[in-house]
Amino acid sequence: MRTMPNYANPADFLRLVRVAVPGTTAITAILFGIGLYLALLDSPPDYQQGETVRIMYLHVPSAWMAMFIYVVMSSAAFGTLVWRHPLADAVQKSAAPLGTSFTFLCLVTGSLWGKPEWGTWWVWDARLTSVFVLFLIYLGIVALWQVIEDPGKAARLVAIFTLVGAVNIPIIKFSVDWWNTLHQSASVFRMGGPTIAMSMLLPLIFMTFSFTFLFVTLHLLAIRNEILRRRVRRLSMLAASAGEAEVPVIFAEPAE
Amino acid sequence: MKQNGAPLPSPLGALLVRDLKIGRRIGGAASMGVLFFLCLVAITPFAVGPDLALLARIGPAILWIAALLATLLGLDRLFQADAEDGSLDLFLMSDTPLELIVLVKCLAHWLLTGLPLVIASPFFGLMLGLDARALEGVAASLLVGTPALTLIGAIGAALTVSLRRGGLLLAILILPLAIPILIFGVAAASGAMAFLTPFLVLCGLTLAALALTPFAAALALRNGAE
Amino acid sequence: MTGDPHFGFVIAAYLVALAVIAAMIVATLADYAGLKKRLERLAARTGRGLDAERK
Repeated sequence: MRTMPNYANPADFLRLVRVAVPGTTAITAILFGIGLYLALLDSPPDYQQGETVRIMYLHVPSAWMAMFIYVVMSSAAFGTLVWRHPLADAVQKSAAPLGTSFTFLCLVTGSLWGKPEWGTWWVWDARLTSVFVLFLIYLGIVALWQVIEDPGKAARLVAIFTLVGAVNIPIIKFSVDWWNTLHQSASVFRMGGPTIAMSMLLPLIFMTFSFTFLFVTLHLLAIRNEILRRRVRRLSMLAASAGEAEVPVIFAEPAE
Repeated sequence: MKQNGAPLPSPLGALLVRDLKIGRRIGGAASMGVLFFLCLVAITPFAVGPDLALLARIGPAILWIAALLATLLGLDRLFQADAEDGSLDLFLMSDTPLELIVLVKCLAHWLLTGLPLVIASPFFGLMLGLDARALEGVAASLLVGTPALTLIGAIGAALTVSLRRGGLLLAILILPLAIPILIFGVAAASGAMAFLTPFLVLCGLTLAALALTPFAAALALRNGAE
Repeated sequence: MTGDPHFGFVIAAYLVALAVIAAMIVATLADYAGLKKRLERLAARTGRGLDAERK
């Protein structure tokens, strides 16, 4: 394995995880407590949308996470390609399923919001469609991770695709917006805007920070998992090359 | 293409000739693309009904989707055959920039699958009851848009070159990225509004793909072949 | 609050969010537990302890 010698001190990172995770967990819990209180109990129902406006406090933060995690992945992809830093590989790999989950959550809450507002589960609205395409790209990234066996090679190939996607996402967004105005539907969606009331803005901000800290916590833990996974893989190979009775273990447990 | 008369440097010219020869042989996918295109166009009326007015309305969209799928069909073999017989290793070691090799391979692939689709599209359009203006629009938009499909697909082909069954994954990776081309291609083809605006955007997308994808695909090949 | 006819949608949205977030947390922790177990087993069999790897 060529990548082994320049493994940038994983022990240091594991120590960081051990120190940071209790803190971020606590912050996440506190933020969720305040955010959920504001979103569910304290904030008034919208004069037009009624109680369904409360779905916004999940939907908008999820949408923000969907984009934010893609930015995190793209930065890590850059690190993978330029510096070949295995930690960047781990950052990339562990962010992908989390990004997929948040994008999925964004789509589902959007759908649950759309049913009472528009009378249908799905609208080919520009915003929803863009998020849907982003979801497809996330799924492609996760699939690409799964099919390439060698972790270093997988990281570099996924990094290329992630960056190609990063270039494409603004183009897709622009195209979908254009396409949507071309097929102007009777959508009366007027979410947000500058006139959003303070009583709605505050829970939105708190929920957004809760989601962000939740991601940071889970991401740190998932990066630790990736470091351990590489270690398991390396030890399996070591054991196998030493000719010990490790062969059944390697076959039983895919080294990925 | 004779080498002395060719504007290309000779290794690239030789590669183009070789790829065209391979593609035209029985094992090549050249004629398959058009046949697949024809089949897709032919089964659509069975799905939506023989109503010619409806078919004429959605005809440009059908032709574009068929072209998209037919282009993707042959793409997974773009670099895989070379990887199997060892030519890819020679490409990687050669003095000729890999980016240009990718570009030439895309050109050969487009000449063999994209161009026949463009030529065939007006005839298939007639089967869907398109009028003369729509036929022109479809042919023109496909002429400009299919190179972009081939180029973007080449990135997917380069990423999946080392996988034994990369075909489906290639489609999963590439189809979301092809959405802008599809949107502007169909808009230009159907002529719902001004033809020129979407057509020019489509040209822009193709030029951007031409400028960027060889680098991404070459990078993927270098990393995937190690 | 519960008088709103669309209250069910709000509940459903928050339940889905809870499920997705719980799934992410459980998957991450379960992954960690599994890796830890495999690592310990490997370390015991190869005689290469975790500390040797940590250099």
